[in-house]
Amino acid sequence: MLRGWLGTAGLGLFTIFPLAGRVLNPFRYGKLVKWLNDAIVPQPRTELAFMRDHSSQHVSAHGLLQGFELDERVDRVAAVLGTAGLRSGFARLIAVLGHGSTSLNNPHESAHDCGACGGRRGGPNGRLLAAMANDPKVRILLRDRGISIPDDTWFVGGYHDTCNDDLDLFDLEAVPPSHAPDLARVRASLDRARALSARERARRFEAAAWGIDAAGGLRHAQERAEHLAEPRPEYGHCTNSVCIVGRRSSTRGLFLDRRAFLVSYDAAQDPQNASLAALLGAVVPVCGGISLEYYFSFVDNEGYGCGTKLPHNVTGLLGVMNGYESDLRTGLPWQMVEIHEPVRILFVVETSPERVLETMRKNPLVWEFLENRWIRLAVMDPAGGPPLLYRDGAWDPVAGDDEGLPVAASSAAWYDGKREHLPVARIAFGNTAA
Amino acid sequence: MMETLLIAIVATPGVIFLALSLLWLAGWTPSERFVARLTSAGFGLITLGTAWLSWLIFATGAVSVHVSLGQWFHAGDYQFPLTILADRLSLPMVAMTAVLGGIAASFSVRYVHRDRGFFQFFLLLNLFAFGALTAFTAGSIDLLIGGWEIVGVTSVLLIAFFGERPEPARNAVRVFANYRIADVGILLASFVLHHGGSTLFTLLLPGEWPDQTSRLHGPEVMLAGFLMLMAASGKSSQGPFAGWLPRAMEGPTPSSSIFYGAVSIHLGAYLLLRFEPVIQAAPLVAMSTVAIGLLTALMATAANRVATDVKTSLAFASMTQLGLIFAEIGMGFPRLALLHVVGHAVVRTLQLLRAPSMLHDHHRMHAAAGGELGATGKLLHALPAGLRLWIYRFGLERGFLDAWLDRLVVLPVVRLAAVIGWSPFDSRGKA
Repeated sequence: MLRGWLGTAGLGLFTIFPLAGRVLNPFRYGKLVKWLNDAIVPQPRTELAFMRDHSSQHVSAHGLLQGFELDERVDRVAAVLGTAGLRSGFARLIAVLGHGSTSLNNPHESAHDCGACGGRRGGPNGRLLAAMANDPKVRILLRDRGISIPDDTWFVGGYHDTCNDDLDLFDLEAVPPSHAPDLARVRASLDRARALSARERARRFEAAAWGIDAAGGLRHAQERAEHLAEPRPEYGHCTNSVCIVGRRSSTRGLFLDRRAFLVSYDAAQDPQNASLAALLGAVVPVCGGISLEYYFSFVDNEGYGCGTKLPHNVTGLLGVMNGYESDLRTGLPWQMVEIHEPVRILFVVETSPERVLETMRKNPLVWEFLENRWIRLAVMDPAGGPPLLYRDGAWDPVAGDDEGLPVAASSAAWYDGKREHLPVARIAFGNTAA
Repeated sequence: MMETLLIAIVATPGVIFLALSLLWLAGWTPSERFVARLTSAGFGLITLGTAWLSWLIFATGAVSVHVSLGQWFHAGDYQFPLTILADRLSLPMVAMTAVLGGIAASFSVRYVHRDRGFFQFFLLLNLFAFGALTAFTAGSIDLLIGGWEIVGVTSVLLIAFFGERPEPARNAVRVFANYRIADVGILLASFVLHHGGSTLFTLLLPGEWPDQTSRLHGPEVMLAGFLMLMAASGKSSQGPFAGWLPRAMEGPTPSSSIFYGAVSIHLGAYLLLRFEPVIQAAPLVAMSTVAIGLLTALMATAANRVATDVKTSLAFASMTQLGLIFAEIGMGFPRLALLHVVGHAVVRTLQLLRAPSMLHDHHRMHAAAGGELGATGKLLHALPAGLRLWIYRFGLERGFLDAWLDRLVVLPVVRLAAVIGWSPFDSRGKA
């Protein structure tokens, strides 16, 4: 009471500066605050402590095991690189990016973070994987598992903020001097990619002007993230409709309108279907779950979603309710799903029909998703033949489209001036004017 | 010059409201962009106008500006004077309305974007600004009541903004009933002032705020003072009317912010500040003002500490400060009270606008404190356990005010309605 009296009667008037700055010019105000923070509190340099020699070693006050033993490190690197089919042909510099989302005034912020780790941010994961993969002892043991990382390959961990399209790379001081030019090149192409991504995202936002360039798109994304009044800082996974598990060369050059999950998998490297089992065990529950979350929040927003965000009221430090009194609201708010097209997700797996069914049958969780028709499944057999769609236990060939895909000079040429969902197009390479 | 400027400031949001609603009645719903630009331009203009007017008043050495626009009507020896004024009390309130209203409008352009009530929201926001400016610049109690009622009506309509759900509609009715009962006070007070001489502030309270005297005397002073106190308590959610404020948090966040953080909630304090000489002329009224303020502050601070949701917690925090402001007015510190009003409005507006950040702030504090947040309320721990428990229950039940209101006011009315055979209330009407 007395503290409130001092704060309002004494210092209250000064609050006008943050209030006006935050609301009237959030972009510049955000920059100013960041600049002041950097000037006054320098970013501490940190180092990951992830080594552990013996599983008996309890290194923390909480009595929990911390860090990873050598074998555990090898397992984790192999699980990521091996299942993705990255066993040879390594580049000199490889960036491993985690993702997360930062926005202001948004109780649903963590809904944009990684759902697989319970609404957390993936930066530390990217950083940790890079550090493990750079470990020479790990690399020696990886060779036994058929993953030979050349000595001149370096991994860099990073973090992509999907809301403001910021991209941080970690532990850059550890990058060998020989790789400095590679790092500069990677940094430049990542910067270009994030700006183009921001521009493509901006086409869905009515607040973004028509015909902005990539820099304008990036600025718009950053402004949204800093805006106190923005109930839709990003559309996240909204409009998701397909998950393509296959070689990236199969989808290269396709404009998928940010509606596809792309999972790298090469059936030729996976004769035992071990990688496929690991991949489907992860992506079917994750992508299928995401798809259903958006689906149900859209089809009955008051029942399965949490209604409009505008009257939401944070309660019990754990969730939101409507205004003065209501039940806890679960599901996604209308502002997150309003442009969603409620379709069950289609998994397109690049392998033979027999192999995919055999693999899915072995995992009851994945099998239930398919058998109870929460997801749809199609295969593209690398051996040839038309794509097959799984329907009621049988495979139907998908009738070929004789016309072929429309061709556009660039993604931007295809989406410019349009807000609605766009059909798939082929982007003509060699003519990649942004 | 100053007169024209003052009229323009008050009229701008009213003209925008009229223009928008006429266009709408003619069948054209303007685009979001048009409504947003028009409203922002309006608030921009009144902010600049207020700054300019303040400068002119300062430069010319005038303390206040009075504009008489004649009278609306007269009946017998009663006339409804249309007089507006800007003095040392009005101007800060007008500036506060202009700046905070503009900020809330700018916030809402993004926040209410794509909501189907966008047009309705901005229509009400403009009407509200017109009502608030009228109330703050009114030169007579009659005109003040006009602005006062506009603010009340827009406030209730915005609480019921999401009227398709039952809770906002129910809570809006509850707030409306509180307003109606409390407003009896200001209406009766205007009769008393009229009988006491004039309803014009210039005649009633000669001099410049805050160094005015009251022309009212005898029992009329006390009667008018108590009626004002009743009306002010209703508007500022004090004393017996303290239960409605958290229920008003049903609307969109920016309307909660501008109404219950900034302007509407301070209208009661403004009324007391305007009639400060009347209150000081009746010691019993002044003492009651202090008592109501302090008791409400104590109740609200207890309720604030145990509130489980951020908007209720901020509503009780507002009530606490309003209680202290009432106490300051009752004790005869109008300048301090005015500073407190403006400072509190600014702080509370920002807090309510960023109320959705509560979860995020808590997580950050929790992480920064290493996962262990220190215990609060060390002073309370000095009290005996039984008393602590009682204070906890008292806070959790918000001083039992709603229960008392239900029992003493709502139930008799419902019973009476049943006796005379007219029952608009279903069983949930009294909830």
